[in-house]
Amino acid sequence: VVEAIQEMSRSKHTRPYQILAASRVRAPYEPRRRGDKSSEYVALRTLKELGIAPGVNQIGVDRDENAPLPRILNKQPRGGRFQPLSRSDIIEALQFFGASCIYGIKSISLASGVGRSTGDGILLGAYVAPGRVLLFDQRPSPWRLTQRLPEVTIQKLRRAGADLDIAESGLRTIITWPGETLRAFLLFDGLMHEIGHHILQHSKGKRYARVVRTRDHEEFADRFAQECRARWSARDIEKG
Amino acid sequence: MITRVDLVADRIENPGNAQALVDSARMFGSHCLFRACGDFTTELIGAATSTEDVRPITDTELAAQYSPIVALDNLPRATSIYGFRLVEGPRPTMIVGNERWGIAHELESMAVQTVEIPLISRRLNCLNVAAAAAIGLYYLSRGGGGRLATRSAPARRRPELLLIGPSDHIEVGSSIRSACAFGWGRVFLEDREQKWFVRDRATRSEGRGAARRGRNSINVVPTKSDQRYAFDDVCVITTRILNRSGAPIYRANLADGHQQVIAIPDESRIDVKAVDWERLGRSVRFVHLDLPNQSFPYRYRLIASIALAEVARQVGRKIESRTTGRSDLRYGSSLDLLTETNGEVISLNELAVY
Repeated sequence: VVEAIQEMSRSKHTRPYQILAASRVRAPYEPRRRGDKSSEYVALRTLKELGIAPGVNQIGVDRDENAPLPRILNKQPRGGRFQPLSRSDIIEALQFFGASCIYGIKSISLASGVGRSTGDGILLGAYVAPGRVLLFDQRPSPWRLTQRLPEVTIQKLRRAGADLDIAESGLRTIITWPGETLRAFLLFDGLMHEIGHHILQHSKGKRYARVVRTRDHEEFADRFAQECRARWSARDIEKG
Repeated sequence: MITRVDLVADRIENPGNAQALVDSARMFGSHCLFRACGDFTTELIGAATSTEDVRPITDTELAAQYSPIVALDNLPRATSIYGFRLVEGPRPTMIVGNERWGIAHELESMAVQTVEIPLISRRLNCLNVAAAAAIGLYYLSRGGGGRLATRSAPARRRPELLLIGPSDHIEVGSSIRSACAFGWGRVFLEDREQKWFVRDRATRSEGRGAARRGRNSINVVPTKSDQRYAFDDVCVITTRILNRSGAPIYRANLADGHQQVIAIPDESRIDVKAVDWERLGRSVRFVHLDLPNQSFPYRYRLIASIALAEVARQVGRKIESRTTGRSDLRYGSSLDLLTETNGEVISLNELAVY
């Protein structure tokens, strides 16, 4: 009975995002019934009528094949800056986190921050709906800041593994990024944070409409980035 | 042709601003009238060196004696001051409002036209009242001047800005506020008198307050008087016509991009002729403001703000897209920094020093 229930097809509109993403990302232009058991039976019956007896695995979606990746654009960084993430870093991360992080993403740009308003902060990345992720160039370690850092930012940096040297009651801060910490920081608090924005927006089926309040959007993206960091760390531990 | 436009200040609270408004009116040979508001106005005018051209005025007198009345405020449906043509009338006047509340509703309804100074900054939506009045009088007395330029990439046209030797911390603070409001993200400051980069807490706080540093994220870069630069074009803003080659500001090209620097010296302390301008760049030009009155009390913030307004006009704004497509939904991630602390804890003794 359990097997029979597992074989039953679900409604197309209630498939969880991960399952939907896995099929849609591999066949974005196919009709929605692609990969269903029902269509598999139709194909089998047709082949049988033609006198062909196919093997069990010859029909259906091959879920082991790698999902096609979005475009990754690499632009020249500004003078004195560099892109902590390379193209191969992004590909490795996307393949590890799977189709749900790729579904609906049109492009990931390693962009230069020229002409972008810095406001009161250091720009890491941006998500432009629908489906464009921008990651901005950064100064090499150490970062010397002459402005105060809010407590939230200090905690975020420490969590990412940065060494903070705060002097003159916060007016001078030197942020040192040991080893690969800056790359990891951009990977999770940049790339995966923006993909978190995308997943929330895309899973609701909205393109330009703001699906939740900005504060909730940011919270979701932060939580998603932290989960990704935990999964990545677990993988590294498994690898030894 | 220069028209005399009188200035009416509505419920001004700060005596420093009142004095600056009087100086602003004197720059243009205008009268400065304070809208009567109880004993407070009398005290204010007392602080602002009372003379015949500086006096209180009531609403009835204003309506009877002046026409046309123009309000200067960033109200909805206000017209840009750039290229604004004043309607004809015997005694034009311009009203500026209270620092916090703007122009009173009854005065606003008396005004036949409302004008605003177009600002670029999204965080600073107003200027110091005296600086705004000086800009307003400058353009209204000239029949509006040219229109605000529209360009595909105005940021590429924006020149660098160098403030030289301001002699007062409030003046330099207000000038930095104007620079940020007009869209500069960086300003070089040659602080000869040590009015901005100063350790004295009261001076520093007042200067930062005048610059609205809590909302003003402009990067103030200190420079030294012997520092050499390699700009292609150096434009020195003066209030006097120094030589025949000097052009009035509205005829000079002040939107040549990052290879150009606009130097604004404090002429109350600096002899412009004696400065070695060659250290800043190859070509040096003197640009004068062409003010109608040659003898007036010098105020750095007024001169700097008029110059910055004209440069901002020439730099222009981006061409508005005519497509009616959906606007981008965008989320950015950044490391938040605090530009300055928004508040400090002080004792009563320290407060008495201010």
